[in-house]
Amino acid sequence: MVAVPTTAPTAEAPRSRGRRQRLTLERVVFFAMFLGLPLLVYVLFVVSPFVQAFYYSLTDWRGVSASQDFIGLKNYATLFADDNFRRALWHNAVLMVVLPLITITLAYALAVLVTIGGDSRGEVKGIRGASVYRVISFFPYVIPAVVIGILFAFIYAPGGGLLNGLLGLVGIDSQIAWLGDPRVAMAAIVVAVVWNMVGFYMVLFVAAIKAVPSEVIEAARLDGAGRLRLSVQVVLPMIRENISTALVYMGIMALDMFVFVNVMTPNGGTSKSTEVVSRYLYETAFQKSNFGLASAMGVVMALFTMIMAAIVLLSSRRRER
Amino acid sequence: MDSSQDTSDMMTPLERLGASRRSFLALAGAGGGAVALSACAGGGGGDDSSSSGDAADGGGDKSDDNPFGVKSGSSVDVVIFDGGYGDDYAKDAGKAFEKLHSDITPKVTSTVNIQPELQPRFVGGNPPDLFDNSGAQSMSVEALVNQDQLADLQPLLDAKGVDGTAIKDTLLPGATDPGTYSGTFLALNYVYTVYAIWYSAKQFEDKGWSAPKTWDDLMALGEEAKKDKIALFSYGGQNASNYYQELALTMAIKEGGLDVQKKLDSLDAKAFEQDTVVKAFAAMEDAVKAGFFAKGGEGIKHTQAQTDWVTGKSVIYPSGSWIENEQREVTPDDYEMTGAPAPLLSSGAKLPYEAVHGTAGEPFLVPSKGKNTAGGMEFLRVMLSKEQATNFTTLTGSPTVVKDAAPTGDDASTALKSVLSMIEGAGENTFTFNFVDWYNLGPDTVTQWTEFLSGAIGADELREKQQKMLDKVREDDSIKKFDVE
Repeated sequence: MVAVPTTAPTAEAPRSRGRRQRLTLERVVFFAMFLGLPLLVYVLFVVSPFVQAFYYSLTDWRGVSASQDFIGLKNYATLFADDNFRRALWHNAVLMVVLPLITITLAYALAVLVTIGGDSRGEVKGIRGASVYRVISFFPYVIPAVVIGILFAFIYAPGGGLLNGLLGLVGIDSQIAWLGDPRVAMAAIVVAVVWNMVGFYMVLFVAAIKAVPSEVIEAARLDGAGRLRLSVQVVLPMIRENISTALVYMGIMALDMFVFVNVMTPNGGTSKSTEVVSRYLYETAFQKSNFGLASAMGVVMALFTMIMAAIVLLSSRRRER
Repeated sequence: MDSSQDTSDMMTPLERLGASRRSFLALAGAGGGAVALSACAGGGGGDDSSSSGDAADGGGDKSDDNPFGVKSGSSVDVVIFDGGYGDDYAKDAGKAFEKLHSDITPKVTSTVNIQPELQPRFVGGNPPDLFDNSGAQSMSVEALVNQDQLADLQPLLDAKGVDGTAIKDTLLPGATDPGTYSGTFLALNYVYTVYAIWYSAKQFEDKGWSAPKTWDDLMALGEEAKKDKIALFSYGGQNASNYYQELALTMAIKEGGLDVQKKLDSLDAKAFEQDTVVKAFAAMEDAVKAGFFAKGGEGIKHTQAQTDWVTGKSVIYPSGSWIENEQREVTPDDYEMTGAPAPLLSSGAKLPYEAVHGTAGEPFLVPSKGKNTAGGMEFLRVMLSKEQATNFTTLTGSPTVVKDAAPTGDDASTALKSVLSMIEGAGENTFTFNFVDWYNLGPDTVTQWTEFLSGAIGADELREKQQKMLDKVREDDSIKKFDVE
């Protein structure tokens, strides 16, 4: 009944705790280098601008002199009374749902095709030419967003644009100005963004699917799972982590969208049909020189982002439990 | 500066900053750290004390050659927007400046990013002595005026020019209007711009058309163009549909006289309900309904629209006289671009057909907190000499605000010739309106006019939206309103 094995670790524990408390020069330097320095940089370049922006959002700073008056929450009142801002915020919210959904569904479908989407007899493999598609679909991601914006503006051009030209070939005489028509302009921009991003997420998912043990897939096939069932009910749950990471990244992108919107529809589109907060913020700050108001927009956006991040994190944590 | 502004603003900027920090402290309570940070955020720059003394007095000896007394041994920091007009003219002016004042050094630099480069300098309290506030990234003049950052340039107008005449007597009529804010002359706009409807003289000659003098002529021309399967107008709905707002308002002002303009500029609650504005907008709607606007314009930018126009897909384009320079690369050699005044809406118009919307652009500003404000004004005085003005027009093909300074040789282009003849024909009958520029209404105007020109909304709805836009500015106390004479 001698509890030798249990006493040994308990004697070990306080000793290690004691070691941790001793401050030698080496440890101080270590902490300063690896904790203090990054923290300082973080506070200086990340936290302090946030605090500054928050302060500016309570002032009427015009950005052309060092003086500003404190006006409390007036900027926020102005913002929420502003139709354009509310519309921009709404667009961002819609984009945050639609953009990740489309991009990731499409990327996952393509990833399945080039990994496990091939012949369901014999070895597990992708469709014929999978390696070629894998490379090609990554190409759009390499092109800078500004260039994609300009390219798609040409594709969507109403007279002699590629899209209307192609529609003409199949007998549809389309006179639609894709980026000018309030009904389709936002969708047109979403298509460009999806085209840009889908290859990247496909590659991400391909790597994830490759990491799924082939025994699992083979076993599922022996049990009679078809390709659709295999990809949706077997592989998808196993790469859930990657999918949720991808969702967060796409969500962040949907909250920005500045480059695409500003290049393709410079003033936020006909009747502000494609206005997003980041572009409206840019106009307010750098064209109208209303830095106080623009800072308030930034703060609202930051809060919005944080709430969204919290929701995503909480929901994924609950699932883990 | 001007005393009326001093009384309306009892505190110095430093006191205001202090007060704002105090009230923030009271509100934030424990948030002391944040206040410390915010202090370095806005405060940054040193020179908060309001500029004492006269901006037009450099402290040196004054003479006819140096009316502002720029100190010898000083330097003048000039920043030029290197856009459509390039920066050669300013470098040449710099050389002339050196010739006049061998002991003062002008430092002429140029950039395409005025706002990103100069804004930190304003906040830091070391702005340049003179800058050319132009381009897509220019600074908001309303903000600069609001924050007392600009020097009064009246002494420049009163001073004797390099050629011996007082500067104000050498300028074209209306040249100082757009730079005058509530009676104070703060911006010297150097380039004279005439708004007109532009066409190809060659095309008109081939077809036997003549420049439309009335709106009915223009509509008849539209029908002619339709027969040739081309549009009457092109427009760049993504960013430049407001060119048609300019045309509509110009016609409204010619129809109803200068009162129309005054109501617009003073943000009148019924500015867009004035009879002649209603008439002009309705006329535009007729043109939209008749299909005179090139299809798909809502989806393209002005560059594409203007290229379509000079390559013959449309006939008329309303624009300022910069258009020739802007389109130089793509205009066919035999196009013979020519401008004509905006047509009259009816025979009962208050202003003659020859009246033009003439204004000055390319604003040169002297920051009131610059180190050598007198030097900045002296540099402008040199630029306003006949020699430099002629040089500018030779280099850029655009007339300046200096009277009779444009070269009138046969080598002048058809566009420049038509501009000069429009200026001559108009005489004193020039006008301009400023509310769009004063209150940065460009972006909102574009989206509204694109809706209208694409046929999505009618003239009445457009006027309602435009009026709402004015009302919003008028009711916003944080925006400084400018007086209309």
